[in-house]
Amino acid sequence: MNKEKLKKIFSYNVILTLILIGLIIMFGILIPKGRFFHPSILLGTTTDIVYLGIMAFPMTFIILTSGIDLSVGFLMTSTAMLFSTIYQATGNIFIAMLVALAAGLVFGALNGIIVANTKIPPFIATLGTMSIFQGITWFIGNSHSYASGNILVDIGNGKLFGIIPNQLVILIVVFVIFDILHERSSIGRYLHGIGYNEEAVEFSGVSIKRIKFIIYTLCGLMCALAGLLFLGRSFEINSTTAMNLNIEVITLVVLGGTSTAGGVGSMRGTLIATLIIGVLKKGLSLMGMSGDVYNFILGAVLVASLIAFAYLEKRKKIASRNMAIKNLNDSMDKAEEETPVSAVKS
Amino acid sequence: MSTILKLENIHKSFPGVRALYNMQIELEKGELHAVCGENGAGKSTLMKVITGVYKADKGDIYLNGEKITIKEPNDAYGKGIAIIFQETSLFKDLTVLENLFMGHEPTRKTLGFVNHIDYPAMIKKAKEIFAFLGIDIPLDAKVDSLGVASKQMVEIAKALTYGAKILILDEPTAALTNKEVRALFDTIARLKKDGISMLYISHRMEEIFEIADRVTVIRDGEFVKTANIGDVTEKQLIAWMVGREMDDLYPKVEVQIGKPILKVEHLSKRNVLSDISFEVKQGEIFGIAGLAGAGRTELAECICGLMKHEEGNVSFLDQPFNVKSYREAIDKGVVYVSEDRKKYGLIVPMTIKENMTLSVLYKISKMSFVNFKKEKGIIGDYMRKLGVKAPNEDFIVDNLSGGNQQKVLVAKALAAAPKILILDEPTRGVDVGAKAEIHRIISNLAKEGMSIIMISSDMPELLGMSDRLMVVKHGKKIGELERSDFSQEKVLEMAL
Repeated sequence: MNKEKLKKIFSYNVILTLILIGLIIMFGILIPKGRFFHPSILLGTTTDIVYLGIMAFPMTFIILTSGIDLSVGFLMTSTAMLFSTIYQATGNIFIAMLVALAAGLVFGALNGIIVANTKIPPFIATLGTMSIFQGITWFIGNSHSYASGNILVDIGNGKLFGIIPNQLVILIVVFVIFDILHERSSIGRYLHGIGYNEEAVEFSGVSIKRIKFIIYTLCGLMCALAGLLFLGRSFEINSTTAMNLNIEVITLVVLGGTSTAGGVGSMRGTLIATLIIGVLKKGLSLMGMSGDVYNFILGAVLVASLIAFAYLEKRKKIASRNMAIKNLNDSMDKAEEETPVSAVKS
Repeated sequence: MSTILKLENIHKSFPGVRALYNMQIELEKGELHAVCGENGAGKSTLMKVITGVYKADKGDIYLNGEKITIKEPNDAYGKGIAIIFQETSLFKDLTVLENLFMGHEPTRKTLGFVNHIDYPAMIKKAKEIFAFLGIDIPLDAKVDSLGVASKQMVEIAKALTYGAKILILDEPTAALTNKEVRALFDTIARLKKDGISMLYISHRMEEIFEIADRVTVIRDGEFVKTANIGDVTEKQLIAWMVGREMDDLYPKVEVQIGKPILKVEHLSKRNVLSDISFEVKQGEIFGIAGLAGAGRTELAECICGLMKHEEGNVSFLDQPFNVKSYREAIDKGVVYVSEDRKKYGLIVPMTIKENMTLSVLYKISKMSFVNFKKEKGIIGDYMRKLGVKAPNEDFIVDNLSGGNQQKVLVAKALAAAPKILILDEPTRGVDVGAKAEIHRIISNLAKEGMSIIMISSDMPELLGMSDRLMVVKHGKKIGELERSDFSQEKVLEMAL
């Protein structure tokens, strides 16, 4: 077997999948009496993280352009709060959902306008808007819970064919849409280009502003959708829900192999990383560990994947440099064999 | 005389560039050995290999007949090899004395155990060296307060404090007045008498003939010849340096030139361009000459909407052409190829395919979904047409040679089906073989009726390829020349 083939087999996504399987086996052994190795529990692991995955896909787009959106968590809770308020006031769940999604779109567009039109780094810009959305979240209510028995909860907790959680179905559908956008659309190509070299994309007649605006707005919309899914699952949302959400979402993306420097990354990686974190979250809670342990491990995973990625990038750079030199020398030698250097005239 | 330093069969490559190939040079004790070559011929790389800044990919270095390896610049110092840089490497806030012994100060122990710098010893040694060199610079002066010539002397003196036996002088006279040059040559003569060998890089022929003992010519990273200075003429040296017939490099094809298609009238932009007017005809190669910073690139960017101008009109095919974005310019058939290949031209970590179709992706997409079949067709056409040497279209651009990268960049522009192609420094950083190939491509494009605006700092290229050229200076148009009136002197006179 040659090196190229080996490399393909041990690609980043395959390693991630192996980690996922390893985690499932580990928890299966650690958690006794088949409480983990049960189809409904295994499939159920996803229901806790679908809202994270829904935000991680557009976040992957953003990080591909070497940007970041720190406001996702509070953007999600602020739109969810808006939904709850309007639902309670009007009793019309569809109007409430529409308003929440529209708000997500507007909030995302705010991020998009700032990032696309100013030179403010996305990190700072979205840190600022995060504070705005936090204000909205806290202004509307510290704690909001609402009764079950509506369409949102039916969807959020229902199962397709009585076995596959609807949440998982939604995750897969959203993933497929984003994966197709990423792999087959011109925007998908531009995103990588912007991450590697923004100027060169601009000098190809592509409007960077438009693309940045689109992805941040899309991210806002998906956050609102995530908020609705979250409500449908947990019945409750409060002011502290969003505390760590942005870090969770960013961890999914980075663990999924997307470089924070931009350019490198895939939707598939983000999907597998989402499943990994889902299994981790469920497994830890089944083992009776508190949320603090989860946060600790999450942070460790984020830092570890950043380091692993930096290391891989460096190796790749060295390999590509060596290959470039080798190719060059080979082609030069070849050219020389074919056409001898003409004698110097003196 | 005996050989002190000998380099054999040195190879050194960087991604995209073969800097040295089978390089050799021999330096004898007490000789001044000049190294000649065009810009980019590999002189600086060679010096950096000798001083350990770069490690050669292949090849041997012998010092006094013994094979050595130089791992890093400090290693070279330790072996008695020192380089005097064009831009001095001195600490400007420290005194001359401190600079001379920076990093290897003589020390002395007080009370048998407290280690401290031995200033008296430093001063004594510094004075000896200065006396030997015949220079008079106060030891306690701050380096910042010295002139260029004095700084250079301090550098030489510093090298001697290390006990250097081999000095490399890289364009030492570039920033000196005539009087200072005399003083430097005087110092060089003293050094030679003391048996110190020197490698001397310079573009000034008359200097080489005045002070060098031998000369080595390198070209395109390869060794050409070493000769005693008495055995060669200036003309011969230049022929070795250039090494090629002009005709091969600039394959100009006779083209039927048509009607004007692009008219630029009174184009102005504050502090950058003022009142520039010209027109470009169908099938014409229109050169734009001028120094870097004269506004050539800005002019191109204003025409194709990458930069906004304040006054003036551009018309294209008798229609007003005032584009708001570069996309609009591409759509109408005006395409710009940037001078900075790696910054504005290509996305080097991406594949040939992705780069080639980047500016036309929207044309071959429906509802923003890319038609991969059409994309493949475009790529195949241009890979063949331009002769891009790569295994396949999924090859990463970064791994291509500079010349092939430039071809991909031109292919990217051609994929947009331009009527006018604006080329900014089309052969910068490209080896000579690829240069000729790119020139052939340009000639063929003009033959097919495309109009080409060529901005270039490479004078022979501009004179060899253009049908007509315009000279700009400080954002103003100085004049236009027809091909029959072309001469390097005229253009330089206008540009300077």
